[in-house]
Amino acid sequence: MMTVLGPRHQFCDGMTRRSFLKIGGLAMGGLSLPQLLHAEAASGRKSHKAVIMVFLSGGPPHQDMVDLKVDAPVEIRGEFNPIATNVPGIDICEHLPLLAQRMDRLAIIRSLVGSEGRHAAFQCMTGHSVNGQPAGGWPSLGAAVSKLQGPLKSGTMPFVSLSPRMKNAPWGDPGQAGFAGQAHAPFSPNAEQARLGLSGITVEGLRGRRTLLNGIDRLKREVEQSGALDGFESQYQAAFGILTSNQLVEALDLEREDPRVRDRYGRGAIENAGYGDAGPLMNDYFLAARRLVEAGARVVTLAYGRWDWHGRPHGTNFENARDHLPLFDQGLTALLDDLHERGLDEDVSVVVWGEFGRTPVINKNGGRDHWPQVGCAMLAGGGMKTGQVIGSTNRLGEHPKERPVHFQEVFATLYQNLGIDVSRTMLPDVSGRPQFLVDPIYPPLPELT
Amino acid sequence: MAELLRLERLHSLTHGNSAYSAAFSPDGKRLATASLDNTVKLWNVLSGEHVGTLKGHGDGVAFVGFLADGRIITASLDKTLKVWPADGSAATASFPGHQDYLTCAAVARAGTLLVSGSFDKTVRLWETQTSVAVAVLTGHEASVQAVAVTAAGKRVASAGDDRSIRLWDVDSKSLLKTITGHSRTIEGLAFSPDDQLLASASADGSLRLWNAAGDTVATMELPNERFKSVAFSPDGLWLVSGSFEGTVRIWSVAERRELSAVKAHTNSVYGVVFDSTGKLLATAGFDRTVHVWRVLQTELPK
Repeated sequence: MMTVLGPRHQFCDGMTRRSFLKIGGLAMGGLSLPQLLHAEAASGRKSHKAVIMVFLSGGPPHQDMVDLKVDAPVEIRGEFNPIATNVPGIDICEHLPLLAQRMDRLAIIRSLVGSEGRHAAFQCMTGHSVNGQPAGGWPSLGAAVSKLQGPLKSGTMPFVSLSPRMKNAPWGDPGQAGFAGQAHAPFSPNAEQARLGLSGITVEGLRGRRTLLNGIDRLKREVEQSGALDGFESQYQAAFGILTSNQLVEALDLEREDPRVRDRYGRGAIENAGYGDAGPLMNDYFLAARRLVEAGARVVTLAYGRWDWHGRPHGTNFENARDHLPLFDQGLTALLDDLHERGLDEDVSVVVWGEFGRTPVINKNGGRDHWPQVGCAMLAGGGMKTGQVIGSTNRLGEHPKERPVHFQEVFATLYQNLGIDVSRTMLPDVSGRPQFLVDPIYPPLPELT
Repeated sequence: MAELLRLERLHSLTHGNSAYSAAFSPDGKRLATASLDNTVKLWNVLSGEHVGTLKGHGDGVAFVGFLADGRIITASLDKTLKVWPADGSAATASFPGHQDYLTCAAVARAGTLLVSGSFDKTVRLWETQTSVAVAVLTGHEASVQAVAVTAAGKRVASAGDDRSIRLWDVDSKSLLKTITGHSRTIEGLAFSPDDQLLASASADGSLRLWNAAGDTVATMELPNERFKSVAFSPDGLWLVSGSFEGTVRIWSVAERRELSAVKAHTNSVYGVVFDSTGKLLATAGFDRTVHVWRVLQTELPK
């Protein structure tokens, strides 16, 4: 993605110069088609390997979702009860009843470690800490995959982020390009707003092909007159190609979906959740992620809700959980069902997590604070062995008791599911030094194969 | 004949985030609802139509109320109170002063006194005509979660996380009495219309009635309920409570028994309020909705 910073200039149809260059930059990244892509396209497979990453901004409470501590004292235990899942011996929160009935399609990690404790999506997007990055910065999963595998076919984007811009910007981080290069930054269709669209242009505004073409023609005339894109003609042409291919617009245009399917996902709320500094509780994003994968995306990331529940006066941890969990339960369940019913679940991996867990002790305001010592993750699809829990915490949920799992082990697994062997694959940083994407001490999780 | 009540839902009004408070306008035609989405929405009570939005607070709005002349008072987690014209246009006054989250407020029905409580452990009295802080009342040992004021603005009650209720004399700006009895936080307080009773709602599972001297008059307990909000009906005959569990109950004040209960919300009930006729009830929930209920009276043979 080519993002030219500087004063924003508003063009007609609400499109900014920056938006335009973003789209152009994406297409520029799509100009090279590796051999892998051709082989994949020629294989005749109905689907392709992909990852959908759901980032629960703020750090979800592991002990109130998938690792309930019924034997802990009252100041730790929490308000919720566990319920049995369809896998004997595995219990999860009573507010996740739909997922409980799909536990056979989930793998829950109860012992996620290695969080740097930073209130940011960075570690979930890259697998690495912010500190000590190599020259150019770590590429996020999507950027690395874009670099290594390129677009599935002409006119598709390998890496799409549905995370909207947020007041707390690090939560809206769509996943940086890092040393993969800006051409591999995510396409962020709703970076300027929560409503699905193309960098400031809503899907509604793009729905008519004629409107789209007219808009682009007008934009082109304005751009040409302003000289803003001198030297960017190739990018412009490529951007035009992507937009007029219609795949992107169709994938993002949920009005094209059967309304019953949208209802099944739960639609969600457009307004920012919680304190207003994070993204919305937007179940449409789950559906859009599936549609984007079907439209050729290899990695789709999305931020969902606000899980930083410190307590009153912004609602207790448990009030917020009662607000978020039912919608989350519905949205993720619909995604899992949809992927399964469409035969995509063998190819598409889903990972759900946040930047850390939350304190065992409930604070005086009914909240739980940051707890980088341990967190949780949910994995599904991708041909992984599901219906299991990996790792455990001690009686109070303070630290791992069995099988600590590092963020990077999850990344190694995701790369493996995408067909990338992290033990062999290196990318040069901007100084030319080859870098492993995942620290070699972290292999893919053997439990999932 | 035994009186029973039934709540019939008239409107379900939504916010983009949790609803914390609701208030009927003095003429009963409008409902104002305050939300964690930083706004107050104005609604036509009869039709349920959204007729306006008050924007200007920088954090959630914890309280909304009306002055007798129709102007609107809001209190926000952004530590300020604001006064808005009756037509819902931009705020005309802002009262800064609290040093931490402002969680609760109350307006004297027959006066111009405004009371607020905060995480800063203080209760502040404000004169709405001049936007001037009249007093800062200190003594609470933890966050103040609820305040109430008598009709004429002569007496104030406050309560919160220190589990105490404090009665204050407005003229002398002094503490009259500290009332104890609740074993967990108190998040709801209300004076009866004749100012002779004070009701408190606590997470300890009890609603309590206190007389003007601060003595216990009655305790209504439900061990599995954590009460969060409370209000009297305009005739003083009923008490309405809201709970963390989402239940709204109406109680007979004289008989100290429950007349009606409904699982009104899917999350905590932060605000309950009757209109001036007592025939309508509004409940504000953390589930992002405000329900308007018609209160229907039925009588069954004893």
